[in-house]
Amino acid sequence: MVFLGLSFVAQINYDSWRRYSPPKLLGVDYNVYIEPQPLSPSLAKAVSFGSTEFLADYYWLTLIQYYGGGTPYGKYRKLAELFSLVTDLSPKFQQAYQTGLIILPGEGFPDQAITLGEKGKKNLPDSWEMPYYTGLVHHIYKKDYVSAAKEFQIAATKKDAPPITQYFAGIYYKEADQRQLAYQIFKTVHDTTKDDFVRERSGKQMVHLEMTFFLEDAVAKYHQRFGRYPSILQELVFKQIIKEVPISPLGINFVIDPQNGKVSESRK
Amino acid sequence: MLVIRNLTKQFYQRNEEITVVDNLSLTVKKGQVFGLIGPNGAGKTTTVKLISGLLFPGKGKITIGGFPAGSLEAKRKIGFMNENPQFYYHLKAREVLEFVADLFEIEKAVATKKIDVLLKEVGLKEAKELAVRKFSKGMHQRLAFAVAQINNPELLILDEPLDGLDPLGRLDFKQMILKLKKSGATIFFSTHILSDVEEICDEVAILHKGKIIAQGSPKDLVKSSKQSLEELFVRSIRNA
Amino acid sequence: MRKVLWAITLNTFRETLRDKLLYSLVGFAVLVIAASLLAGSVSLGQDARVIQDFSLTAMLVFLLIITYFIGTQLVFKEVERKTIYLVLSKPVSRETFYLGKFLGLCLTILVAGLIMAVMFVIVLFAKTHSVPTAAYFAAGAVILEAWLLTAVSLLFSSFTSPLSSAIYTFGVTLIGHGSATVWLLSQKASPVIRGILEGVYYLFPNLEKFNLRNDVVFNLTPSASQVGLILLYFASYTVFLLILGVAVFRKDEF
Repeated sequence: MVFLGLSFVAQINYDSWRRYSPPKLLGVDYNVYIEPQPLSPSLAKAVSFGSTEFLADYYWLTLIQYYGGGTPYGKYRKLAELFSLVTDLSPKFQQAYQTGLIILPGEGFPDQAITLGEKGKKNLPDSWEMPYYTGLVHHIYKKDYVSAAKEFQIAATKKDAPPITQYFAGIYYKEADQRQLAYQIFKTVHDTTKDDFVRERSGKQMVHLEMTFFLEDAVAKYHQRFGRYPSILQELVFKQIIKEVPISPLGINFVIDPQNGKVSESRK
Repeated sequence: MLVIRNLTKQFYQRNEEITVVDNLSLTVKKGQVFGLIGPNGAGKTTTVKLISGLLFPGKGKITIGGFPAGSLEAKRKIGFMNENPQFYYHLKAREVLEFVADLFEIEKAVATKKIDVLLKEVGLKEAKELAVRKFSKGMHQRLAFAVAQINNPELLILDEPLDGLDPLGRLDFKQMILKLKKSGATIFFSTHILSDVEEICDEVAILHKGKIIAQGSPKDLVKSSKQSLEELFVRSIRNA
Repeated sequence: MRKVLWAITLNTFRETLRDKLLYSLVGFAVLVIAASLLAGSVSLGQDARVIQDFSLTAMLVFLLIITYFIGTQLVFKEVERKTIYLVLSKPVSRETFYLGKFLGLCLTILVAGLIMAVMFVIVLFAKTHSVPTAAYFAAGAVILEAWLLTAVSLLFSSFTSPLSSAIYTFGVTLIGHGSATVWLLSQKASPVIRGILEGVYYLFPNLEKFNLRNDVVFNLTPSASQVGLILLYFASYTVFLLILGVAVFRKDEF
């Protein structure tokens, strides 16, 4: 039996060696051998003798080896399934959720990442990281700013959330053109945060938005008087509706869309 | 000392009921040496096991010193040596005897002395610290004989004690049994070797297919039939 | 009686010690614990988790192997080697003999378990410089679980062959760990099936009660009442098994 054990350890080392050695040594197809075949969660639990955390660890290690080993299929086909299995076996394995939320979208599985994030939020209700990371996926990969903002708002309510979390919620609402909401958020943050940097930034965002609202009011007045929208903001000054175009404390220029009169930030 | 009344034992083999011991009755008086002889398969070992409580009677009664066979009190009174005795491989001779002494709850000091005496008696003094797995067959039997006496039993039960021994061993054993007989022990043993029986026993019974077909002292049996014991034995078996 | 019981217990214990199988098992378990060190280092910082989970599960697996292979043969070997005649012809009650065999193997499991646990603690401490208290509780519970299953294997071996006993005991282990699933299934089923499944749930040992291994990672120590409940369940179920086993064994003839 000792020899059985030695052969087991030798097998682990051999597998690692095969995974990390360059493919051209043994031909392109060798990775087929290593693509993991995870069990279904219920089957895995049944054979685990109750050691679900142990199996989670086993699949976690498998996942790491899998991800680190490269893939000839161009896509890590089993990645989402593995993350799902690991978190089914160990629902409170925070590191697994976080890693999944970071890796999966980049490998082409943003929806699975969000599903994982939802699971993480459910199983780790006190964690700020879960909604935070999920929000990032919404923002970066799905360009869904409203959902991102919502996630960040949730994250901000959790204990130990970084002070800037609530601020980010405001940013996302602004990106989503939910400016009133963003303004409220920035105001709340400015009034309540203990972090100086965050308060300062929020204050600036508030002023910026106030200026935006001010400009939009002016545009409405112009439209009322002249039946069309100004082609540039300077026209508001020319027509004496406002004294000057305000300069945003964020250092961003305001522009107007002559078609619909919408005031937004210039993207240089 | 040992009283058996209407003892019957049946076994089930392949849905058939086989009667191994059939309505057996005998009495062994205190100080007697009783020999149970019979061909292989006659039921000798079964009878011996029934007396020592390893098997339970189907019908009938066995009492030892008044206590039913198989009870703890009865087992305290007997010393048992089974056919082809085996011991725990991991023990030495001395340890085997110490283990058995513990089973009888004999005090350590008393046991130690007795063990030395017994090992000397059975000729295993040099093998005291030897591991049992290195023993020869003859040594096994000698050790078993020592084990049977550790509690100074009132009744010694021996199943084929001389089986497989070389002539020297057989001589030693017979002398040991005679010595015990002189000191007043009661001995019950089974065998299929007749010459032993003639030399040692006060009384014998011939067992065939679970039934006793002849019983009496060897001298009487030989006298009444005017044959040697062996001839009597063979004829009884053939006629039964 | 106690002296006799102890004599048989000690003899059984020493007999299993000389069994080479035991040494290889302990050695193998030690190996796995060392291997978990290796696995821990490639787990992206999850060393503590991996070492704890691997070691405790290995401990359970190997103690159970001892139970399946040695426990089911305890009585069988005695009969096969005829050493049982040596003992049962002496003033030893069947109960004492049966109990002595059980306690002897429990002693063996305790010793093996302690060796494995010590190795586990040393390895864990060397890597992470802290050992959660939950780990001690989990290790203790593993030993209790092995003891309970020893009683199960002894029960089976008193009326069936060693191989069958090993298979049945393994089956009991699987069902015992799946009892939560059985309960859930029963709640959804029709009344007749529900009755059967609930019966199964209560009859088979609920081994998940002894599963404190999953809490070690989060260092959740069991409350005093939980510990009490575990001990009570263990004691009552094991005694039940022993009584059953003795009842069968009493009728056995040799």
